[in-house]
Amino acid sequence: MDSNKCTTLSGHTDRVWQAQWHPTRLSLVSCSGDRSVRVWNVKMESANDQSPVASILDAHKRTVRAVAFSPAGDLITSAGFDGATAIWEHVGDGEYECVATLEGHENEVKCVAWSSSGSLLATCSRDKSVWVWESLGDGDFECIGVLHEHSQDVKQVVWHPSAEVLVSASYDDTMKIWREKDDDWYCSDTLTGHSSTVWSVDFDTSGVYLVSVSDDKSIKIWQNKNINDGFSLFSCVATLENAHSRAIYSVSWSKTHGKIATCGGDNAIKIFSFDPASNVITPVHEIPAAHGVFDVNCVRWCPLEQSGSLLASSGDDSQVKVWELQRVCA
Amino acid sequence: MGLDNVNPTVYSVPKDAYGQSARSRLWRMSQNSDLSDTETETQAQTEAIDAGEVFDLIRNINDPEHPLTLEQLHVAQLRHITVDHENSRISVVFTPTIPHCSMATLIGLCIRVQLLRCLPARFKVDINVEEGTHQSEKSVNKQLNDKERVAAAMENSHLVEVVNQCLATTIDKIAAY
Repeated sequence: MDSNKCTTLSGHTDRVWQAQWHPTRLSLVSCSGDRSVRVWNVKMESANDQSPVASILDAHKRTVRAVAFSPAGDLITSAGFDGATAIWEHVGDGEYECVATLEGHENEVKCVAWSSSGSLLATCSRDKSVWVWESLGDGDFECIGVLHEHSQDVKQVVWHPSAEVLVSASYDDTMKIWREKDDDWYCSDTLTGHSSTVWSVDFDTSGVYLVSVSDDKSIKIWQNKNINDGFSLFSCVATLENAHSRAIYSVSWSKTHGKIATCGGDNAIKIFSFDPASNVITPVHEIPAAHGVFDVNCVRWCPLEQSGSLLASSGDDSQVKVWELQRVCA
Repeated sequence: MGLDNVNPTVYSVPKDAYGQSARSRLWRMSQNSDLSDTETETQAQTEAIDAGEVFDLIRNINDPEHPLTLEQLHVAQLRHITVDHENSRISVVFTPTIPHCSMATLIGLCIRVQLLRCLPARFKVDINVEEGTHQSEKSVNKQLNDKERVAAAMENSHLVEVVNQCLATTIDKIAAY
């Protein structure tokens, strides 16, 4: 008997790559191989198959690989296999208007992420580079750094929860930490240890710990005791091998209750806890076949304190699901 | 551009090349879209698929450089296919004709696309170069098993055209049988 309460959001017509929460509302934005971006209001009490409240059809000319709400929640950014990053503004009545397009990457853009203050944006691409953009307001963005140190495809970029420190995860099996000094962005640390593509990373709420997941099926936890010191390096403090039976595509570290969610090519969503006293990663819950027989591409914990036990997932079955995991998170 | 391997070894192919299995699957393909395959399966019990059926789907893929099939060149062989029915896993190992074959990734991509199009969605397919038969074995394998790279490749219209050419004869031969 499946005890996992879940609601399904249907509307995409191809693999859903990502679903991300709004910073202050129970809303999600998702993106897909169907080239669209969709916005959903989540109602856990209502029946399945809720439809989107807004759809940006043909948001990109190819697959939309990543999306994000800005920290103020007023803008959506989308990253596409067409090499572009687009900024969308809500103009009312379920309509979004493209207010800026950031061009520069040579090919597929794989991720886009806002810094916590909302003043910086990072993008990464198959062209091996990471770009940092500054938001100047009114849809103006200026590129302030083009970072070329990865030797392969960069899969994801994630900002530190408070400091202006960026982490990138790559097909070259490493992660890199990027910082700014005297207007120059530089790589301050390279994290090696995974034996294949690092698909996803996330910080804990304090920003002292970083979790990474990989094609090598393992989860690793990294610690940096003094993130504000540019010379302070991360060290790997815990590894859980064979956490999934196939590639792990996404990880989310809850900022409200501290549980770690992962998902991957084995169709499962798994929940782990990390004990910093013993440096042990412990499995606490599993949702097998979360999207039926399909890969699960992304998991994200809801950032709202009162709804922190909600987990959004998206899969190759074209669906977004929201799981109520109160019992697990207590 | 010159051919990588101007004179590949050609192997004889048994007469009864196209089995019942592949025909029945193609018939099913034409009845169902990709996603509804799974539903069909749950309704009428999960159908067992064996290595022979998987081989039937890829044996007639055209080599990108020669008017010969992967079977004729021993790039694809039945003994290099394993099916774990219980866990819905399939492993296909292929053998490039020469260790510096620049077509290895393309051949692997053709095999992946063919199986994506023909097999029920529940199967997780791993495609790898036979160990020790290619100088860039590791990077070819990594690319072929990265779903994001495969998805991006399938949006490249030139590449899709080349893949479809390699697959075209396969469909024709099986359908004509």
